[in-house]
Amino acid sequence: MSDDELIWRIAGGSGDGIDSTSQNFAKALMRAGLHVFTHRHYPSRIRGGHTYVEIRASADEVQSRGDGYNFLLALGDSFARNPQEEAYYGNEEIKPLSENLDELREGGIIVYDEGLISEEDVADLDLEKRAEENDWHVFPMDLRGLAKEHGREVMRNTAGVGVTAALLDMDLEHIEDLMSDAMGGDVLESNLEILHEAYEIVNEEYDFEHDLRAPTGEHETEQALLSGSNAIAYGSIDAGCRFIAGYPMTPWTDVFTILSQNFPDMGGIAEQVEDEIAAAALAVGASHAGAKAMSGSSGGGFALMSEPLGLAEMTETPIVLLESMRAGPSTGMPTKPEQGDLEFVLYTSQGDSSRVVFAPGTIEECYEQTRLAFHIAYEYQIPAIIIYDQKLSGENTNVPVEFFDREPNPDLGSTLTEDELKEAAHDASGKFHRFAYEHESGAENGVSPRSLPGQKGGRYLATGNEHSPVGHISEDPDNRVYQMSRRIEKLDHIREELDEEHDSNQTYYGDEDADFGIITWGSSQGAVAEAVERLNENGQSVKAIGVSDMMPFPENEMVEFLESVDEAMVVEMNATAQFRGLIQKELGRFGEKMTSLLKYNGNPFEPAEVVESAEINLNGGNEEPSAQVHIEPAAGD
Amino acid sequence: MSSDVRFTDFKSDKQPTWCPGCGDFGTMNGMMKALANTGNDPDNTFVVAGIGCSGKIGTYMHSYALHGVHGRALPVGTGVKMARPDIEVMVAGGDGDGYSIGAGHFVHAVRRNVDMTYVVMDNRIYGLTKGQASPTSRSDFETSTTPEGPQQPPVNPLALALASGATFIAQSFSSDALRHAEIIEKAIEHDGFGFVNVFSPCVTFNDVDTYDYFRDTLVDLKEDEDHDPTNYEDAKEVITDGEKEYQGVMYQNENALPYHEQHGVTEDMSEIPDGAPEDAMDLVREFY
Repeated sequence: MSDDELIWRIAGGSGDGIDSTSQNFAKALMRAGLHVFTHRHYPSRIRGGHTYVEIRASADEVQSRGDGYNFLLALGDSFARNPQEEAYYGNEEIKPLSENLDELREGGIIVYDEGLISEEDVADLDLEKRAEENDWHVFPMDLRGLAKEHGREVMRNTAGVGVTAALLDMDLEHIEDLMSDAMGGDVLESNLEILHEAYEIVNEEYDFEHDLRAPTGEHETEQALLSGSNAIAYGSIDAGCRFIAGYPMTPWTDVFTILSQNFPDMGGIAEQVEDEIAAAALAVGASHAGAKAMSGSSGGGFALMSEPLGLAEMTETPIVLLESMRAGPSTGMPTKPEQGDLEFVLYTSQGDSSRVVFAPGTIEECYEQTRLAFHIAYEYQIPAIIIYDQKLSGENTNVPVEFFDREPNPDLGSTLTEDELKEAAHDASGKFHRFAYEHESGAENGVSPRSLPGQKGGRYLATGNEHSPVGHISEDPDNRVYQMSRRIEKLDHIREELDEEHDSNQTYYGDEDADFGIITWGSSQGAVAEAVERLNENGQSVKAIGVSDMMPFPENEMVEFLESVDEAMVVEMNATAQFRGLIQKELGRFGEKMTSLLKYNGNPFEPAEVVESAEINLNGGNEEPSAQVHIEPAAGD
Repeated sequence: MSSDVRFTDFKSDKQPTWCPGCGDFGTMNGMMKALANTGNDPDNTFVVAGIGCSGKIGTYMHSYALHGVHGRALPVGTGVKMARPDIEVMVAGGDGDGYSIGAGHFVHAVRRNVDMTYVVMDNRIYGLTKGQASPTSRSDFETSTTPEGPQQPPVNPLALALASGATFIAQSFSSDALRHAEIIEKAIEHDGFGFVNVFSPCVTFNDVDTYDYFRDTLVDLKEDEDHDPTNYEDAKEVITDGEKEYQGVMYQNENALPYHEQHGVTEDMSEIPDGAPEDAMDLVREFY
């Protein structure tokens, strides 16, 4: 845990502008030269209820939300103050100040809005005593009153930011710039007034007894602040995708929104449809006709996509689907992250699966693997799925802008021209052998080139039934075995390409010679990465692998990793150790080497939890972890 | 499109497995004739079908075709047409496909008004699964899974379409070959979503809604000089008439814009742009 880092928590009612305020403050910190990482916690309701965002900022790279926080800006929940609404909202008035207060680090700062949080309530919290014990510095201030005086009550966020900047000894320049970008006219003027007034009050009236200051740093290149959703959306555009159909569902809606706002200007189509069956079916139709197309949802909506997903597998239609997981089963916890849909995404839809599943672990990987998903989907005529989660969807971090400056990929994969179609195999009636046997197509990777509607000589039938080379329904056993094997074996060829022609999608951390390994997948990668760093700094010898290739499974890399360690802890956000199960299914061994660290309380891992559990394992595995995590013993133990 | 296309050019060499006498033969022939008569080329035609007897139509026609999942023919066809406004898209399905499992899609395809033709082969029975009630079966129609009849009123698909904001609603009878083809032609020529419910009798499992029944009772709107299909009230009257059933064009709104015009998306999307547009990096900088 670094001393020269800021973890700023802004807490209040949802609908109070916590998101936009924190987004701008994070950008200001980034522009000031810091690495930033944001963490959103919000309820599934439009207004009211309690929400917070944490921004972690440091001169060094940050890969997770960190542990706890050291600055709390408690805005108070204005909605809970409305007596008529009290029946619904209960007394959540002081929650921004009280929730997780014990996670505030020693020496931390508390700013709370006296205008909304009453003295009596604060007295109930015993704040004075706790502050003394923990060396907390408490700054009550009437943010609401200040906002009201210079503008409108809702602008108390801005007052809070002004107080924050003053207490942290930050320059206001970047904050002002960002405000000027986001608003104009009277609104901007009032906000700037409030910002300066708050800043000055602090400088004039408060004694600075606290040590915490904003860290200082410098970026070598231009940075952008992106979420996983931004990176996936941009990766899709880069891959030549111009068609998306969808239905809103938290948290996948972010990607759908970004592309809906951008595709029309690029000659593309973004269509909100009646349900997720239609969404994926539209994408299948569009892709079949020659567009680069995608759809997506979260678990509940993805369940409806099972049908078109299977159709895409059977008709060998390229398509990219997204699945942004949230805690299940059923509606589960709509705004909380979990990695519980892995088995579902791997196997949903009837019959054997022939699909590609990538689980990016970082914002950068979201971009890279979305591009790769389109490449593989179109090259191999197969559905490719990006499985990520609420955490990766909404968390923001800074990435160098130049990272995104790549060659675009407009390639449609293996299609024939009209001239090539003349040479291709046809049946007696002139139907094209779209699903040709290899001796006809000459393809060695199971991919039979396709025609596109409108081409002369390319007519064929695509069907969800088992089919002959021209696509006619066929239950001939030899044809069945041939077609089925060809479709399934494409996965082997994809594995080969991934191993030989691309940088590994797996990310390695820590000490190569370590005997203790941590295995994780998807968005838990960041917390594991930091944990490994700390464990090694603490004198342990630990390494880790963050796995992204779920299907086809990276067998060689996993065997190599597992053979190199005596013991491995598999870290994932679900209750039944799904990824550990996948490893055992795919490799058929190592069950006795792998324990699990599981968390399914709706919050992502903090690095300290991984550190603690790794240490318990390194010490023989007999203690219980202190936090809300669960250690699952190895097979046979 | 070439002018010398004949309707047989739309026919594949696969012999239909439909029962002898099935209404689907006539329905399909009319579709092929209408496609040829409207100057469409099989290479430029895409037929999307659902599941069931009607779903097999893609096999028997020699165009580009996709035989998809039960009830989902419309969304697949919608995707094809959105990506390729240059392609003639015809979606075919049965009454179960369109009004039961796919009823949700039907409503929204109608209101989306994508410029394609939707032909429902309505035999008021589930044939391929051996004779169960369909959403258009009569309420006292006894079947293996509804021994007392469904005991629910049948769906009125024309009224459902009208209520959903349809821009073209018609009904035809598969055995009235010329008239059926003529009505499908009008649906193809309609600039928007052309919906035709076709009475396509099942000779094996439905002994109520037979050829004779339709021949004897169906009223042709062609003979009704007072019926003005562009008049909503006229349309409502024939569509919700509880006594008589009609064939012909019930309703046509020629003023509504089809999807691609409404949204200004008229390009062939298989001409994939060179990945990121030139100013795409500006998108990333927006996040700065």
